[in-house]
Amino acid sequence: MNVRADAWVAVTDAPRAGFSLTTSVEAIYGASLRRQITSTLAAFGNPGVHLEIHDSGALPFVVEARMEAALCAFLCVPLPELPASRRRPDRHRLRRTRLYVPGNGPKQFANAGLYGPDGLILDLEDSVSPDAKWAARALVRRAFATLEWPGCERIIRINDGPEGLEDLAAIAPQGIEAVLVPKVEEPETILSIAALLDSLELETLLIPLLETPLGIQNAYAIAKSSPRIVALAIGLEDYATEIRAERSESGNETAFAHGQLVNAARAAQVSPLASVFPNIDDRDAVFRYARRMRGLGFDGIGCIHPRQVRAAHAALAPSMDELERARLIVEGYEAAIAEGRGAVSVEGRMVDVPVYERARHVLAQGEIR
Amino acid sequence: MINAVGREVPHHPFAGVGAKLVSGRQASPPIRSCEDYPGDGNKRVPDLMTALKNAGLRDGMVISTHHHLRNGDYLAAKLFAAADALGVRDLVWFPSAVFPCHAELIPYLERGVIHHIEGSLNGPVGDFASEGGMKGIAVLRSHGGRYRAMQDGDVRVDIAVIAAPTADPFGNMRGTTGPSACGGLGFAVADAQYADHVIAVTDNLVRFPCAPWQIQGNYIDQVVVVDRIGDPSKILSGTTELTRSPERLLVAEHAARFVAASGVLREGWSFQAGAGGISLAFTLFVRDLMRERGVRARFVRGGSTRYLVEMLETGLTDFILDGQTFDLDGIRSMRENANHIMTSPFNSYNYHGKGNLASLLDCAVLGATEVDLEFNANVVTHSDGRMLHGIGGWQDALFSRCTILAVPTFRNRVPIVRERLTTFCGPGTLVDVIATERGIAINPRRTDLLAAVAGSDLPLKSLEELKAEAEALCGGPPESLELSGPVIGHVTWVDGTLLDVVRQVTA
Repeated sequence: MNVRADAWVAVTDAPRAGFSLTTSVEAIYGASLRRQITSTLAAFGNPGVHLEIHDSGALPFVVEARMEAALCAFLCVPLPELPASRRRPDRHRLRRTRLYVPGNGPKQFANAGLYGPDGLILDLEDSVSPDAKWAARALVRRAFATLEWPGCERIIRINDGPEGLEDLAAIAPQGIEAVLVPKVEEPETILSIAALLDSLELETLLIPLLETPLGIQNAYAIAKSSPRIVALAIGLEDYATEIRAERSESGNETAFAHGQLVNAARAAQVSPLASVFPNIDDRDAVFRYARRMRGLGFDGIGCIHPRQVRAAHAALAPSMDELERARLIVEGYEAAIAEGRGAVSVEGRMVDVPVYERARHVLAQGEIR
Repeated sequence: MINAVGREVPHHPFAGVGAKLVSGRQASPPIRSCEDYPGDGNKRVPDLMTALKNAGLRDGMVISTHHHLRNGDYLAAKLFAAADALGVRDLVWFPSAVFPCHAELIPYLERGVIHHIEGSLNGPVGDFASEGGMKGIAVLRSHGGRYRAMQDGDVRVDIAVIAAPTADPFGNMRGTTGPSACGGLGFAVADAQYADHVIAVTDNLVRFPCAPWQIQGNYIDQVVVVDRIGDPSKILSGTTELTRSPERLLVAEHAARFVAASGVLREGWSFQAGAGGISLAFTLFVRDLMRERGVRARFVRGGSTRYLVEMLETGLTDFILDGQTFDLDGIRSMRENANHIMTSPFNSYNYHGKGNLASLLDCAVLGATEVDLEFNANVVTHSDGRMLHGIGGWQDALFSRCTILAVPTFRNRVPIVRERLTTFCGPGTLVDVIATERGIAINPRRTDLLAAVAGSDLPLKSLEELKAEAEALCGGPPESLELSGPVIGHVTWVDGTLLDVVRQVTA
């Protein structure tokens, strides 16, 4: 097996139940791996099957997920229950960068938070091939159950359609703070997802991803469809083709979509988020792209490689003037509250809670990580 | 006997850095007379077999080659094929390094043409030795340690065979031109000086004089011309593209931020970083920091690559002191730029000399396979005890004034910070900083560095914290590895004492 830090598991009916294992960490974790495999088989009621496992240094949660996926598929049973971990998501947190990590590529999971993205997306949709969807669901579920990424909003991108609802039901209880919902075209899509989250009694936030002419057209209605929605994100990979435009250097063909999405999001008082940027080697290009998106009104961009995060944060940082104004508002408001004054004005302008929150947001954006 | 770092070694126990007292005189090669060499200066002989016969090749001799041609080396294979044809057995091969291409020498080890290898072992040959395939015990030395061993007389090389990308019939040679150009020939300098007999093998014979020369023909006994000494596509390293691995980039960035925040990076500084992924990324990060701050280096050392050349050509450094040349830009620069200087392990690394370049360096960025909580490190074996890397210049460069080991906290579920090293290769008293993707640990001994970065925004952590974080992900502390097989290798310190042994592993 060429892939590192992963484990390949096959289940077969065998006259002799049990398992065979090859592992690159035999010398230092061989015994512990065997204990883990034995205990997982026991948890499945020691079914009369044979597991063949080739491990290339997968972390324990990855081995667990690979075994679960293989056993459940073979035995036709659902993924085993995991204890739920509830988190209260923060509507007002920064969303300058959301880093996409392919959901079937476990090598990247453990360190993904170290690059400082505001949000970390374990992706079950476009970056996962159709034959790996099930394995990725099991893996991403275990990843959320096991890993912490301090400072990062915990996000999944589910698949579209009924598969997405299954993704959500399996994974959302593992402390997911936000769900990126792909290819949303109608408010009804959001309503069914929100209903599922209601039934799971989760406060998870939603970020609809608008990627089609119809989705862009319905942007405002979608943004207003649920109080769980905190942002609208735009995805333009196939959009130009669908409106029968040609992709150009200037990007003029996407001007309407950008403008419509920013306007709809602002009107609905949610955050507009720009598309991912494909070039990962040219950090100046990332900076220019993020600066341009900021100029159009977007609060953040999507990143497909950790190298893009720093440049994007620098591009999205507010100017010195903006920072100074925000500092005055925050200080003025907090002083007024401390003194028990009700009405607060800074530089002749009334400051209410939303204005204060926005100013805090600007200050936070000024801290380049 | 147990040495000063608690490892059992058979003889010459390591007593501590600087603890060994030296006396006596250096080794001396035999006296030769020009009367015995062709008066017209033409030392050519028809082929390698003739040259080996003339040199008196016989059973048990020590034969050396060099790794300028890296993974494209054809010479070692030609050499041992000739020795085999001559019916010679039990040779000791004393290369400056072994590469994966040398897997084709394994049959000679199996059949006893080569008794054992004294040199850095890795790749298939390392596996072969680790599994107990070699008749004798491998002796691992650093580049500087190899020079010192010849100089001090620990190793007497009977016949040195030097691959010369360009040579003249008198034996003057250089590596910067010819179809197998590789850059500098510094690793062969010791052998030219100290071996009893020296053969130059070239695929690019030029008329006398081969000028400028890197090694003078006055050291050379015979010259052999062959079709090809190496494969140019493998002589040049494929590793000089910047890594896209986010972990490696983050490790390198932390190392670079450390040198910037601590003031190690300042006007007139010097550093050494190799051509591996993390080192190369470090070089690019400090290059950018130097540009931003308008700071220049006096010299940089390396494995030189196009990135160091660009720094030289854009005035970010006054000199490249080149230990090894990895790509075409490096070769061109060495050929054309008077400030791109070939060095040898004598001036770079020799511990028994009157100073060396490594200890003048302000900073060296190195790798490691394992580090313990005392900052001691392993670079030769994997955590399963297999020989994985040569020591190279690693031990020698530990003497820089700020030595940074830039490593991830774990690789494919192998934690790097360990309770006990699988093999002890370098004392922690010489290691100042461990830079990882999860944070930077400064050796508590370096109170000056700790003070220099106090109040900075660097992610400082203790080695204990880094160990705990990696183990939390990897599933607890690694199981202890009890290797009880026979000793198959000795790990030598730069002064010639033994730091540790390497034991056989099961296949």
